[in-house]
Amino acid sequence: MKHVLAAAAVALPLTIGSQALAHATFAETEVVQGQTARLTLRVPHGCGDEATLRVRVQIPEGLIAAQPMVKPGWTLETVKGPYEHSYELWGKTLTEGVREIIWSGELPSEYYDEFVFRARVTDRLPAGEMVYIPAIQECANGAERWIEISAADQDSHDLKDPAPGFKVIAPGEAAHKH
Amino acid sequence: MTRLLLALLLALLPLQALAHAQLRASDPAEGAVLAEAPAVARLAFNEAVAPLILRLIGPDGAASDPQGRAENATLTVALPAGLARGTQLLSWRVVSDDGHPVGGTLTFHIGAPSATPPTPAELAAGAARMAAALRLALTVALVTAVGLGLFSALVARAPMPPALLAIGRVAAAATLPLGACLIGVQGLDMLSLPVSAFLSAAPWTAGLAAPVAVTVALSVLAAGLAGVGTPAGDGRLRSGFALGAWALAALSFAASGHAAAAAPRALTVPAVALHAAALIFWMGALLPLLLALRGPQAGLLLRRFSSLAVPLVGLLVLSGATLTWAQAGSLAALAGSAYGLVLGAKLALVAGLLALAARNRLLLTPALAAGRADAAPRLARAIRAEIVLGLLVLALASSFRLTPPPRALIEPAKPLYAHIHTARAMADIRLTPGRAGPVEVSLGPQTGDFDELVPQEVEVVLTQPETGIEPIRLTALHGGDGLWHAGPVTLPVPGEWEVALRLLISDFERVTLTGTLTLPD
Repeated sequence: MKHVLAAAAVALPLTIGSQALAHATFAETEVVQGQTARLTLRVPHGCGDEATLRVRVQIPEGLIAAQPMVKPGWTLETVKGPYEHSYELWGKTLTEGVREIIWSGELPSEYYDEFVFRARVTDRLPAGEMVYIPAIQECANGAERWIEISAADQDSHDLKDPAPGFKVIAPGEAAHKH
Repeated sequence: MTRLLLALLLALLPLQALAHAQLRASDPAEGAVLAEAPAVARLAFNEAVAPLILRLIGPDGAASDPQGRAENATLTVALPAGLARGTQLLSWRVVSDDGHPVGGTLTFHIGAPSATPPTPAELAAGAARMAAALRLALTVALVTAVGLGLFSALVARAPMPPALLAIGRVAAAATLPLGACLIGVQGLDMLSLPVSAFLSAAPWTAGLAAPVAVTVALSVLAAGLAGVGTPAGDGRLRSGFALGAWALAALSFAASGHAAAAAPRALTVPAVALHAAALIFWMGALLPLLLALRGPQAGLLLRRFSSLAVPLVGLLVLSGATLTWAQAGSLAALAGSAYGLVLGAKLALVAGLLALAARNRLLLTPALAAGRADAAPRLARAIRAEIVLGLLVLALASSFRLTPPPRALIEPAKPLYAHIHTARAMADIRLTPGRAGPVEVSLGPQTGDFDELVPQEVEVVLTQPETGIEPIRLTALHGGDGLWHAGPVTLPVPGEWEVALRLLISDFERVTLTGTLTLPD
């Protein structure tokens, strides 16, 4: 029985993962509180059949010191703004930083691409809860907006355009798993 | 090891929700006006899909289930030949690789959009007539089962003779299959499905969600109580069961139907229950009275029956008059309408019944008491006539469902309003006209603190999950009047519609307001 369960546990995520292609999602399912996380936004298609010309993500409160990774063929831009709270990082107090990252380029609808950035996961983000990063794909005539965040009493299955997200875990929990 | 893998599995499971298919385009396009009926409709999705349910609803409200064939990401639906001119709705539900079904409704018009909405009477006339017949059969079985017990408890005050006991049991047992069939047929009627779909799941789901299911449950419970209680040896126990069954049976009539749905419901619901209570006592007593005429106690039983029947008949007339007033609104509205004709026929029959009853009470009962030899046969003939008239009255009452009451016909253009309020945003939404058929939607959004709110985009999504109509999505446009407008769109059936307003407030923020609109029938 244990073997069957184990086999199912291995096989199911594989099949499910390979089907999760239609929405914009993060490759990472968990990030560790108090550490810097590498975050990979996966963009599976354009707006209808149109190519994606810009990808924008909004950095939520609690994720600080965000930095996009250089992406050949794409122009990067960041929008800075004040944080709602102040944060201590390496002995410095941060009250503002990158709140939005914009990639400009061209991704044809039939191709797939990944957009990478990193950010510090502060303890403002409670362990055990999901963090959602609203993302927008802009095309020549329209946009796909992955910006819906489920309310506490709502099933994320009910959302049409769910914002991509991941779970914050406590540092101890991460050590226990690895 | 197993635990780690299971943890991984749990962490990855939410991904399952991510791969829903999306409709990219359709031919005919949403809202297109076509010169001629198309042979096929094509729906293009973003990924490969398989059709689950396809339903075409024509301008007259008639529904058919066309066949669809999926090839890669395109679903081709073969439309029947000779589609009627007017508004056609193609409700679709497909499943993509992830096993999650998604659906929507495509509206297109042949020639021009339909001017008049399909009325409930036009929808699936076959199923509607079957439902009326089943409702009559259920009513007769219920009245027989409960009425016999009531007569035994209140009038005879003695155990029932074996012949009546057997009739009561058969009637009580019959309520179960009749009620079950009624739920399915009601579902067919609601979904405008052909009778051949009786054995599929859809009509049963719809029927069980409808008020008729409550009526059936109460009826079966009432008949069950009567069936169990009547043979009881102890008189007080028998009375308890009979009165309980009487109350439940009366309530079963109030749980569904046009009359109990008319405003003001605080008045109409008790009126329907009292009307039903009186008719159950009266009609249920006729058969045992007929048999009792041959016995030695005829005079005593008739006197007891009369002393209860006179106030109850008063109640019957009073509650009936109240309901007629609530349903019709005015005499002028009744004249000439199909509802008015049915009501007129019913009132004429009731007048006949009342005349017979008065004759029995004032002439024949004293004659029987005086020992006149011809009194018993004349009473028997009169009671048989009452039974026949009573059945006809019940048949007419059951066929009210086939005619919309005048209250539905005289206020067609009154818009329907709803207010949806959340902390983040709120909106006033208006549906014009406020009834099933083509409607226009307009809405005025504000912030939760009554401040100005100008969204970048507004989408209106209308759904009626229990009848299997897939979400109808509309893009609203900002009008010069400061409101947002969408439509016209055809809402094919009355009842509760869930409305979701998706307001794009800023690039990264969308607020969804959800509420319910009840379209009157």
